[in-house]
Amino acid sequence: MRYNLAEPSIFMPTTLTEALAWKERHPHATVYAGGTYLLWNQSGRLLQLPESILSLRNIKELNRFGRTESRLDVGATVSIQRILRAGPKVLSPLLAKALEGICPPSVTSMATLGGNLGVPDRCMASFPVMHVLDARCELRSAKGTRWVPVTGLRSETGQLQLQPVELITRIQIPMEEWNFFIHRRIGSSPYGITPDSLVIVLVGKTYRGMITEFRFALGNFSSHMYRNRDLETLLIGTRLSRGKSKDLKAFLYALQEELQTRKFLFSPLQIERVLRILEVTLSNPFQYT
Amino acid sequence: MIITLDLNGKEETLDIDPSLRLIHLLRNTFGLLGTKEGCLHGHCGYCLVFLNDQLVLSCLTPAFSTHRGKVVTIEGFRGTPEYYDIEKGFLEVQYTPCGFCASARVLLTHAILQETLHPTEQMIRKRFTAILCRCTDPSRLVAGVQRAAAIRRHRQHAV
Repeated sequence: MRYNLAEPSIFMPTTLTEALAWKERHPHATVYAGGTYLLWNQSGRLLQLPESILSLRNIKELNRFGRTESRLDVGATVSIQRILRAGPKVLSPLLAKALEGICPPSVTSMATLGGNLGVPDRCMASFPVMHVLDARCELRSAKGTRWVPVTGLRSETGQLQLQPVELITRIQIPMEEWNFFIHRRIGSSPYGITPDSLVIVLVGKTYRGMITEFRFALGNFSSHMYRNRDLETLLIGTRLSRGKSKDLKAFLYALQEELQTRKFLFSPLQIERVLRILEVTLSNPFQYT
Repeated sequence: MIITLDLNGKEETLDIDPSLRLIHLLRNTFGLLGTKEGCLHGHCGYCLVFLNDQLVLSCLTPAFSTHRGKVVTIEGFRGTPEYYDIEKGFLEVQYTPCGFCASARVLLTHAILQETLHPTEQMIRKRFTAILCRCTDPSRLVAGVQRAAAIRRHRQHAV
């Protein structure tokens, strides 16, 4: 016997104008691109779908992908595999590694960057990477277009700052040269979202052995992610040296204190792992890049 | 919900339940049993099919999303010259995947060969982590894919 009485209303436009007009009339419709987040934990024979769905899959305007000298332009429905296929001449090694870590290899042809950033209830794996790289998103509605940095895509309370009538249509990622970068996704399941899952992203620039720019972010798939620019500045101007230098010790101590005040966000085990990974990698970052 | 799709080169129009998965549409409605049902969570990779020339997991693809799309399953791929390259390559190195994962492995090999005709061992091993089945020796798999690539290169130069 079937109890699924009400069929969801599904709209599959072929142009962005149609999609935006429909979204204006159905602001609470769920946006469907790759479908991986919508379906990943459904095991029944029949899918539990939301009441109304706006499928962006057939919109060619959102499936464009290109690179200029200074940035990478990714349409919201471009699959992760298509971005990865562009190869090392187009992608920076950090971005390639981060994109590979977003989802298991079996779903890279379905998962999209726009979908990963636009998950309403949690910061997915791409969020800390895009945050650190200062990426920005193009948000469009029937009334107009605005650009929002990924840092401003979520409020302090973790809410996605997207109007119900808006869609993420494009992501622009600056292509800077980083001297060292570290991207780690850890947890009991390599691609799963478990209570101990954690994404650590760290990038830096050096000049004659001195750190001139340093950014790092932590994400644990909750509605918040962690980045502290004050702490980042602690390492700027310091020299890279093998082993645990005085500056690195001071940085790690400050970070530990800071993370312990956010126990609602990170478990003691996660804090310990973050500190250990940062200690080992920052002692000789080039070895782990 | 009425959808129209190109399934293995044949246009089909049918009324479906929107909450149906593509794998169940293929197996139960069209009787295309070459696409195997595994975990339904996107972990095992047995249910791979081509949707608009992209390899997708049919268990994680709702049937409605194939509207105006082009679906190719192992049954549709079997008659093509590209299939024979892969079959011949696998046979020459005596690589015989099990009946459960064979269709997914053939389609994944085709997807790799569409990207490059010179796949490296590292690339092959990495891409085949998408299929969980551990039925055969991975070194034979690598040899099989590289042999299939060589056969396809040869065929394309001959043409």
